[in-house]
Amino acid sequence: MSEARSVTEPPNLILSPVWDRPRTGTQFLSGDHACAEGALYAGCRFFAGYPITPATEIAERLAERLPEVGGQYIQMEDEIASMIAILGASVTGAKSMTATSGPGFSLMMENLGLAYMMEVPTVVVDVQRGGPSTGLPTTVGQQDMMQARFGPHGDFTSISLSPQSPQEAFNLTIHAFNVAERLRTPVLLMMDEVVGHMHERVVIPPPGEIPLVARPRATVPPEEYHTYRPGPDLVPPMALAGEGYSVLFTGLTHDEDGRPVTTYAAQKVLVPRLRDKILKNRDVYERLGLYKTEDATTLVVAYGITARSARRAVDLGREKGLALGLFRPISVWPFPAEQLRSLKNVTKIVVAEINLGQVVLEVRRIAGPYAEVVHVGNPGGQVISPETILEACMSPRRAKP
Amino acid sequence: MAIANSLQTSHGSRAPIDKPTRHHGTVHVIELRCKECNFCVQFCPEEVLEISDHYTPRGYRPARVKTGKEGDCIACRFCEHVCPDYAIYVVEDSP
Amino acid sequence: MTANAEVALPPELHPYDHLLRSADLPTIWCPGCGIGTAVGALIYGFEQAGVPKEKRVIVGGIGCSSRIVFYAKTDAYHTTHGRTIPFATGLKLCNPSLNVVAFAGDGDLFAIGGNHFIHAARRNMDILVVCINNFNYGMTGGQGGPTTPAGALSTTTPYGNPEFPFNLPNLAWATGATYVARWTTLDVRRLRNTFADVVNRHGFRFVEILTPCPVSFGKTNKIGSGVEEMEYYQALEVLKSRVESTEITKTDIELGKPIVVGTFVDRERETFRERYVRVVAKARGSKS
Repeated sequence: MSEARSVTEPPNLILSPVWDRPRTGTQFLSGDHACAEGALYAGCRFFAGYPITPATEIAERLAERLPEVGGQYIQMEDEIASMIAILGASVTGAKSMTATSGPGFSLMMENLGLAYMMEVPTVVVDVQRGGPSTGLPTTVGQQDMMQARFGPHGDFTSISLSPQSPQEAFNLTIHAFNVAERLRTPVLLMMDEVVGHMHERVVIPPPGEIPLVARPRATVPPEEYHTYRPGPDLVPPMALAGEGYSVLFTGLTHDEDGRPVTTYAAQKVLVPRLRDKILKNRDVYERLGLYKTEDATTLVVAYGITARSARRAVDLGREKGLALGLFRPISVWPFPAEQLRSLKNVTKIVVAEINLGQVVLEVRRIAGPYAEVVHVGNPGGQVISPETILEACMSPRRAKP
Repeated sequence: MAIANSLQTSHGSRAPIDKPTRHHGTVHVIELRCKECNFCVQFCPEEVLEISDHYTPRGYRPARVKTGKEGDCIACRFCEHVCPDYAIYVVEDSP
Repeated sequence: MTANAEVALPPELHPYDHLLRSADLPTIWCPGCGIGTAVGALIYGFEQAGVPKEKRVIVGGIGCSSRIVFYAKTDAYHTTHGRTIPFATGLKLCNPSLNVVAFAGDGDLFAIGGNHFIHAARRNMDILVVCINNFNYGMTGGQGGPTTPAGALSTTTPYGNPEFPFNLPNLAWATGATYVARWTTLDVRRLRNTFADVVNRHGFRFVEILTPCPVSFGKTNKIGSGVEEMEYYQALEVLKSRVESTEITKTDIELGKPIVVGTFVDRERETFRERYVRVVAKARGSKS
């Protein structure tokens, strides 16, 4: 019988992160690198991933930076393993993240579903490229938006954020962690190849300036604790591995103790709560960019890199005297429907996105009854130009069939 | 070491070496957990156990100690260790 | 009532009841299934090795074996099919003070999860992987899988299995596991001692447990009930420990042929964690 070797354990910086190597100040960063820095700022100390264009730079940056702050980088054997490794990390209390692009995002659906069901906070970054399948590895797409909304099987509600610049990639990554922790749910950061690869000025504030949110934790003694008993906000406080609670987490339909109860009665309590804890806490995650919408009669709806073309289109249209405005859902899912409906003057909506029609379906569902909803897009491979969007705004109203 | 200790009686004098201590145990069966798998019955080295002739509410005939074999358990605990249902255990009788 | 009175167990309380989610007993496992025996042995291992209760973590996948999480009272995570090992990897890396066991079936660990197994072994991740090998998919009703012996019958190999199975100890040895053992549920004493020996060790440890599956594998292949499958093991078992690397290929399992059991591999190798600790030191030291 061989003796167990004694290994000198360094202090666990993953669970008690120190932030002694911040790279603050004005930097010139790609969206991918800004996302990685945002994760570090948010307290992420565990990253599991698999190389894939155009998200690889996030992994590369974190492979260098995480050891500097005592964190853990691990390159897994595939995206399936990456996605579930970050869940294993999170149940110990660590803030964890993975980053990928379309093909890897498809592989992550299985355990993304597990994260919704087990209520494990984590952040998944998808730097979108053109698809389907291997598609356009090095060029832009926004074709994973419906996969972000509906990808894993079963009913759940996704929170998906979409940045339009490296600076916003930094800020939204922090926001994504805050939301994930607050609501005990995975949060998707839906970037795109252009935002991921473009370099711009990014200002990283000193530690503490952007507030960080911690997950609700178990406070009662173990004998009074129930793994899945929700608080008034529908979020169950979380006991971590190693805290003595003998927690029971499962992907099966379960009762408040995590016991498997595979009945309609249990399902109708659990699954609607998973939906409602997202829908009834909109103030936690909802973010919206509005530009010249006060008097707008024609609205452009766009997110990610397309929102920047759309903003230019609005300016060009305003120069021509058109009452254009930009409605930019930063939290694309759940779609900010009430804010869209509140813009009473709008009679026409142009949804611009680099796909053949995804978020437009939701906009049409919301605004179809009162406004003409037009889609402008392409199948991936290039950014939509401001002129194309402006043209769609100016095209005459279609005759009613 | 353990053998040496077992040969010592509580007051320090040596026990006769030709009279080894025989362990005795009392078998307890938690009938409601028993699924009548027979592992304990089959593999008991002293053949102390048998399947009883009554049924539990779950429809199994639980294991029991054979009549007349109550004193034969040697407390080896194999039944306890092999039972997949935590339905049987042995309490070793104090010598 | 004297202070040192022998604590008398009430008749309904098993010595492990406080280590089990005992209100949820009896288990869902079929009569004659050996998974419960393996679970008991693992609990014994934790106890015997003195692992503090709050440090015990069991990660299960999907299938009969993974139901361990609903009975063993530890921090327990019932994950997705095949994904026990990468979940355990993330968990262990973020809290190395925990004692993490990935416990799943042969289909879970070696069909859908095979890739994760070989990579975790390659990295020498600090986890104990326990495989309940009952030679088929029990939960879904007895389909053939990566460990079904050649020629064996199952619901999806009705004419006899045309495929050859994995030799799991050989696979674990070849991919870098530091400890490899195979026992049957009949070897419960050796199994318990194995767990007591290895739960506290470092590195990637693998224990294969051949387990009766009377309602599927045993019945289909005319081996019979759980007890009869145990007797089948009793008749065919050959104990061989610390086999030479050239010998480990001779631990293949074939229907009706001798089954080699024992501790096959016990070796030292730097773990992922030990190596990564040095990465952290290098990264923190080089840029101050």
